[in-house]
Amino acid sequence: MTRTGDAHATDDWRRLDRRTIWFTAVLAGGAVCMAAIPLTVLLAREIGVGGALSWVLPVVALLILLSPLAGLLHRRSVRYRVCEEFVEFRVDLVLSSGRRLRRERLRTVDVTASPLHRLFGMAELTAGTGQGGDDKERVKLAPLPRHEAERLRRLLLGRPEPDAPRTDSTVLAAIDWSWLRYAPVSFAAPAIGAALFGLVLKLVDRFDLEKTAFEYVIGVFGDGRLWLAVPVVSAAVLAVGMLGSLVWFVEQWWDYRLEEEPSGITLHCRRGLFTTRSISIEQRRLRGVDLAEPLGSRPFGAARVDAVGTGIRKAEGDKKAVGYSTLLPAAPRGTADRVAAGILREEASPTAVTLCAHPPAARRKRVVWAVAAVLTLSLVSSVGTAVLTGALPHPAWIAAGALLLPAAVLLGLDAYRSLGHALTGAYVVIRSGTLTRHTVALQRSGVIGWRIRQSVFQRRAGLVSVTAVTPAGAGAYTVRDTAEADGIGFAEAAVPGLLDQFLDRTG
Amino acid sequence: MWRVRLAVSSVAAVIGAGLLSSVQTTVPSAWPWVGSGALLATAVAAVLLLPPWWFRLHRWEVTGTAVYVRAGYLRREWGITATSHVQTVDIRRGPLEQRLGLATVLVTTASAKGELKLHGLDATTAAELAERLLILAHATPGDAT
Repeated sequence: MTRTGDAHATDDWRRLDRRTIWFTAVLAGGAVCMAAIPLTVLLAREIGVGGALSWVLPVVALLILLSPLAGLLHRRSVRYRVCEEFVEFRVDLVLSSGRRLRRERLRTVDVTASPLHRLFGMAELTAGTGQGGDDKERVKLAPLPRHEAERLRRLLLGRPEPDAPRTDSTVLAAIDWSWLRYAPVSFAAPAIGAALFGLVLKLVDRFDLEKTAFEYVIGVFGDGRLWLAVPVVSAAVLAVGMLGSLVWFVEQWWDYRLEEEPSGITLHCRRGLFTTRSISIEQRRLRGVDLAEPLGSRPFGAARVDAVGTGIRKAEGDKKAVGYSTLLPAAPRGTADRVAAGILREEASPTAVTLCAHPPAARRKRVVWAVAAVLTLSLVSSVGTAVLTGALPHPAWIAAGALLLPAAVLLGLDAYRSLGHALTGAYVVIRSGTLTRHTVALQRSGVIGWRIRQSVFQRRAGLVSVTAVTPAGAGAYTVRDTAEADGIGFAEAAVPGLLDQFLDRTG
Repeated sequence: MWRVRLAVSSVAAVIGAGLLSSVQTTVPSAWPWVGSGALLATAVAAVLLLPPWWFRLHRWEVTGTAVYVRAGYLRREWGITATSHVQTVDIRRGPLEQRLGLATVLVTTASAKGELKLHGLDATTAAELAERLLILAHATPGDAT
């Protein structure tokens, strides 16, 4: 830390901190205990609790005693260094492996600290060059002492003096707890509810309580009204999910702060209650923003802001997790636009401009497709039941189908209302989507190609879908079902010198 | 500004013929001759008439700054990619393509979704094209993102 001013200091190999030993020991010990519990339960069934414990406990004790060794080994095997041109790290265990990334290609540096990390004053650092979030293109260093992680973060993103005062960084957004009201209507609510419900079912199954549970349910609702159980349980699951989503939101966005660092080259987003996350994005890698409005919170005027940049990690594992690219949680639309403008360093956010509507044929197409989907679904399911059981479909299904139809029409209309595109300043703005409406503002310079597609139906209706291809974010953003001349004119005007040279042929 | 325009041949003809004739042979011969005959007639007509149409729809072109591909018959597709952002150029040759001396050129960019496929190129043309694209891509500084 003190030697960073020295030009050669950055060439030294560094080892992980001493605390690694104990940190890894606790981690390994925890894993041993986690593995031991189900094993004990399993053995207890065969040879009784006492017998099981007498077998498992000594093994666990031995492994825990050995676990500092694992920590020692981990510390001895990992080395890393930051040089002028690249950052390198090596693991020499039985086999050696190493990875070397060019520093100029690093796009993002994230620092994450779980509660355990924080207990030891440690953190985990991930640096990525981000070719589509590929694992090979990332260096992960864990555990590091907090100050070392912070030093590396600043160093890797090209800040020469790490001790510069942080007071003059511009705060673009900070947590406002009134945003909490958008959490229960997010998609996370039903997902969390369903996950918890699944967990309960699994526990019931594990402890052989199915029979008791079913009897209890039947006892509550009575034999004849068992169908009531479905809506009641669904509502309960949803309610629990809403509560869960509140907790989730608090954990994710506690102490949230989005700031532009004084050097003006990185955006820094910090958040998290138990696990703290610190995400840095190099601003010149940013190609635009995505203003996402999920169906649940859109009626309440909420929007989320995601970064559209090259090499930004997507949410790991399940899609429900808040992605690393999310820069602002669901917040009032005005705030979202303001923050988007701040991120892009524009006076007014390009996402707030008035968009061109698409031709009525696009609306017809959406409604027809939605209705057709519902009709096909109900037809297939009723024919299926008729064939399989030989009975006519229950009236309740027909009623459900009849209810779904207007919903489909509404969704179709809403999908049409979402469509829009515009050119403004240095950005192309593209909006579409009904479950989550995405308004993407993409820098024109970030568009490296176009795809223009036209199906048979589209040709007859005079529509085209124009896709802007970009290295950033999802890779491609589509203007769906716009009028032929409009779409091609849009693509031509957006990036001069790319499409126009071929236009005599496409016409 | 130099500009080259080239027309492409289409493998679609051969693939189409193969597919349709295999469909034709699987029809049980004992079954109505009329149906079979009609199928054969359609197949012959399709083999004779469709490929030239497809051939006319498939076009590609490379200029100093961009690659342009037109493809698809029912679902039409036009693709343009700036050559400065090209990262890799692959040449692929399937068994049928090798037989006919053709190749497919795959142009990938930094975008996860931005690849272009140029089907049914003459093998030597494909090699030349790949080389030229790489030279064009290298002529532009930066890491192509």
